[in-house]
Amino acid sequence: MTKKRILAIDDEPSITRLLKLNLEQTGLYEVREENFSTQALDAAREFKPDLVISDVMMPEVGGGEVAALLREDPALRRVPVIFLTAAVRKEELGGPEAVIAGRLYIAKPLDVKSLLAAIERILSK
Amino acid sequence: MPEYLPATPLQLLLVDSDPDFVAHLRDLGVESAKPGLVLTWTADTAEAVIMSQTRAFDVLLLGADATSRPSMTAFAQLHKSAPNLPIILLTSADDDDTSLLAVREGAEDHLVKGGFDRRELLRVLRHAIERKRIESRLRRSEEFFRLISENVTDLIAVLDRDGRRLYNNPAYEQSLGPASGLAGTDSFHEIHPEDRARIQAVFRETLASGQGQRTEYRLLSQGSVRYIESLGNVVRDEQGQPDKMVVISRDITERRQAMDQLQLTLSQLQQAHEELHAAQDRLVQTEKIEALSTFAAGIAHEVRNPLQTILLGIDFLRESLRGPTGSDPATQQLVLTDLENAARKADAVIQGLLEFTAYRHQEIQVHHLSELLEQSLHAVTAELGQRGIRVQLELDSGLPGVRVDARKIKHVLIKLLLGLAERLPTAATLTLRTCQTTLVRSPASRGVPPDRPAQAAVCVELEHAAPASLVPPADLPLPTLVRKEDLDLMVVKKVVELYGGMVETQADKTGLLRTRLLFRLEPGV
Repeated sequence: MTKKRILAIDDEPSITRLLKLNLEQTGLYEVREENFSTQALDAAREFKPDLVISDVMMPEVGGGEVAALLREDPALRRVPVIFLTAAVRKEELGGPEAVIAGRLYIAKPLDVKSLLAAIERILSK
Repeated sequence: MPEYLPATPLQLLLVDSDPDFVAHLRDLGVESAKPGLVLTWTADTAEAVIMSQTRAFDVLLLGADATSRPSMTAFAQLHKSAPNLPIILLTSADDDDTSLLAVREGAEDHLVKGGFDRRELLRVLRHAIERKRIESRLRRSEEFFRLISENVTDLIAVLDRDGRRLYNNPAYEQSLGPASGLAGTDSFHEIHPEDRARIQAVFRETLASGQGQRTEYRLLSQGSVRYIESLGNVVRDEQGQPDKMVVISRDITERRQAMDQLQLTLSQLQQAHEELHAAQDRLVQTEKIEALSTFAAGIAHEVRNPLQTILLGIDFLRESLRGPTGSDPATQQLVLTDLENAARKADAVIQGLLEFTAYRHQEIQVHHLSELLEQSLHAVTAELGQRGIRVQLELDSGLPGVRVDARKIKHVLIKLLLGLAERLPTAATLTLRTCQTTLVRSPASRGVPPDRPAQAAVCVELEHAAPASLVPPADLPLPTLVRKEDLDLMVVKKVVELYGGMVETQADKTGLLRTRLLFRLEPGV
């Protein structure tokens, strides 16, 4: 079975590192880390992910801008994006996650189990 | 006594039907041939009328006509045809009534025929001419003042001692109707009831003191209220007693309305200013709350990231322990290090937050970054000296000021400098710099209108040799690297952002690392 490719974008290396370790440990996913959002588009073009997990608040280029850049690229426009955000409370999202403007937002901190459930749900669509 | 004779001959016109009287006058030396008095005689009144209008006479002597008595009809005709010509009536001894009547109607004097000699004649002639001259001058003067009175827009009234109107100029017609109908009426009647007693008191006081007072009141005028400004002047009688009052008034309704409107506008402006002030206070309060809210959100963001690392790390290790193969020890060690670092980061953020909030009151004033940096450096001289760190100061003394809380910014700078004192290698060189610069957004940034001008800013720069891991490869563009190693920087960033500033850390190709605290320059500071 082909592993699904996930691009993890966060300016905090320990988070992308642990996302990679946790997701790859399931045997279902291949994860590429990107800690510089300015290089996220190039990384996505090269890696051709099935899903992108991105932080929202990052220096220089925010997660929303990264998603907009992906949508402008014909080869990447259909790639779903999950936003991980530390800038909102779970109460503000109405739960641990919420779909806002067609994007799934998950409030940090989240556990791996919740993240895996969200990834499976999105990739099965 | 020398005889009165004018320099030029007096021209006398005699109207009389009695040749004997003409002869008598000639006996007195009144005849055309003699210098001094030149006599022209006619018995016909109609001819005298024409002569008085066509020739220049100094005096007209009106004697008996065909009825042998001076006729009032003839007098009226002649007086009307030559109003400036003095007329002396020549009457008989028993005709006092006619003389008196004629003098009342405008004759200058009378002489009883046969009752005067040359001297008496000359005296009466001289007096008649002089009186007429004075009368003419008075009439011209009255005419002059009448013209003024009737053509000015000011209101002119003459009142008696009780305030009754004796005269009102035509300007009164606009407010009180025809001036001719006002004579004898009470001048206080049209004054607004609320002002009447006050104005009556001013009137009495002016009469008593003789000193006019300028005063304002309301006049009820044809259904509307007009504002009037008046000044009274007392006219005294022959005994020096106040007799009349001349009151000059002016309708100031338009001026008053303009002033009221101005007052209203001023009051509205004042109210608007107060509302604006209150709104500004509310805005400042809102901004303070918003700034605190942003600050809190920023701190939450900085705390949640290490928490996320910790949660992901725990999940990974738990799964590793449960699985059949598990992860290799090196990976486990790496994860444990991440967990430890994350816990330290969270602690550093909370510690920094506590230190920052130790100062409860903000004192935001204009300060100069060069001074704040010097004072901060002074506080850590000992720590830097112990590590042998050499400090190079490049301060721009002419930098514009920025609005900040000096204690908090010094706290930030001291925290940064102490951090460097701990981490820099012994005997390292630290360059501290202040400068003016421009805030330019990265071209990669979105959501910023292209026409937004670059903003002027002042900055504090801390420059030192960077650890090798932070020097980017030579063929890559210079990215902004946030020094996650420097835990203090997270809170420092939030504090600086609270004052509209920003913190950036850049490594360049020469191996120097610069931490810059940038503060936008506000216009007018």
